[in-house]
Order: sequence, then structure tokens, then C-alpha cells
Amino acid sequence: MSSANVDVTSNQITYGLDVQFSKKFLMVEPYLNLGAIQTHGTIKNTGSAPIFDSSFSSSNEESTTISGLTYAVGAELDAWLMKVGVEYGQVYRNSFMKAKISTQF
Amino acid sequence: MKNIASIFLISILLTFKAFGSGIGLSSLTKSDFKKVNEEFAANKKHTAVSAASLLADDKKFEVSLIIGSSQSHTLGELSKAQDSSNDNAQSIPYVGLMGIMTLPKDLNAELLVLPVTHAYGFASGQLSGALKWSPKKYFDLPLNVAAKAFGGFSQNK
Repeated sequence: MSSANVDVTSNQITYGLDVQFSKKFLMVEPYLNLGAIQTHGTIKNTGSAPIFDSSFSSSNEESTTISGLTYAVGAELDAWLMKVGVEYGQVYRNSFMKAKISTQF
Repeated sequence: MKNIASIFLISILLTFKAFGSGIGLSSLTKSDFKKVNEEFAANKKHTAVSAASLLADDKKFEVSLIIGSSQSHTLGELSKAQDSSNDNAQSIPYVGLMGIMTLPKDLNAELLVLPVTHAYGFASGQLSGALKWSPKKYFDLPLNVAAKAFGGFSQNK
């Protein structure tokens, strides 16, 4: 992430625990994930222009630790050698949508 | 496997293209800072896009290409404040390669990799893993149930 005088790196260390529930109906297995998550995030600016406002003690690097609950719903389609999956979920009130195509051996 | 690798590389280029030139950060407040961290964390939350069941008994490995996106209202607003015509940062693209392996003791190990990849002014990378355990063999449950501990490191630049 950069512009004329800003060069920003954002690092996150995240860990958590999910409990998953699912039931297979023929080739389709819908599922529900419920979990807890914690993130330690750092944003560092190596450019010359400041990115943080005056409420921060540093103008170049700040860190925070956040935690919350997460959930996801999805389904997997098992088509013999190939699997396809879609998932919708929320982490820290931000929604995400992911899809996969996979092979097993 | 070659097809998945090819789709993976094409996905990185396509997903980064719209997003990379769109981010702008300046005058971050403490509230913005927390929300931006939450948005990046939501984007990189470890998931195999898989149900609770473990890999089948006759399968030892699963290799997946995962693509997607996540909401980034705060990044979008901050970027738009810098350039009112910029709508590219309203969502963060996502792509990763997932490997799942059968372990003893009713465990599956998951490893998700996105090598730090630079494209269109944006770089993103992730390494995360998980251990998933299912008690299905020990209890006669009407549902598949599993517990998964996950952790990882991600970078956006």
C-alpha cells in the first residue's frame, strides 16, 4: 500500500478456535462454524508522510490486539475426485465470502 | 495439480489488479486503525471452506484453491477520502492454496499458503495452519462435529 510519501505494511498474527457442525445429504454437506478469534495487528509506515493522527504516540508504527466471535455457513459438494465449496461468514462484523475447488488423493 | 497452480497464479493477478491501486491511508484515528486491522484479519481468517467431516478413510491429502473477498468499508472510506473517484478498496480480494493431510488420532492438519506476492502496487501473503479433530468415531452423533484450533501470520503491503 503506497502513494507518493507513504509506504505501509500491515502485519497480523491471528489465532482462534472453531467448532464445526455438518451433515451430509447425498453429495452435499452443509455446515456451520462457530468460533472465537484473536488478532494482534501492526501497521507500519516507512514513508515520509505520517499516516496516524495526533491521538497516537507514534507516527510510524502502531499495534493493537482485538478479539471477537466468528461464524460461517457453507456447503461442500463432493463430486468424486473433485470437491467444490462455498462459505459466507463474519469476523469482527466484517463479512467474507470464499469458494474453493479441490482434489483429493 | 498443474491446473490448480495455473488458476492460482491467474487468480492472484486478477484479484490484485483492481485492489492494488485503490488503497490510501492517511490521518488514521484510533477507531479507523482498529477497524482496518479487523478488516485485514477478517480477510485472512483461516478457513479450508470445508465441512466438519474429516478426509475420507481412503484419502490422505486434499489440495485446494481458495478465492474470495471480504468487506472493507473503512479502507474504502479512507481511500475515497483521498480520491473521491476511488471505489476499488470497498472489498479486499483473497486467494490462497490449502493443503489438508490426514494424521493419526482422528486429526486433520491444514496448511494455507499465499507466498508474499507483489502485483499492481499491492503485496499480500499468508501462512496459517490448523489442527482439526472430530469425535465422530467415539460417539453416535446425528451430525458431524469437529473442533479446530487455528493460527497464522499474514501481511499486506
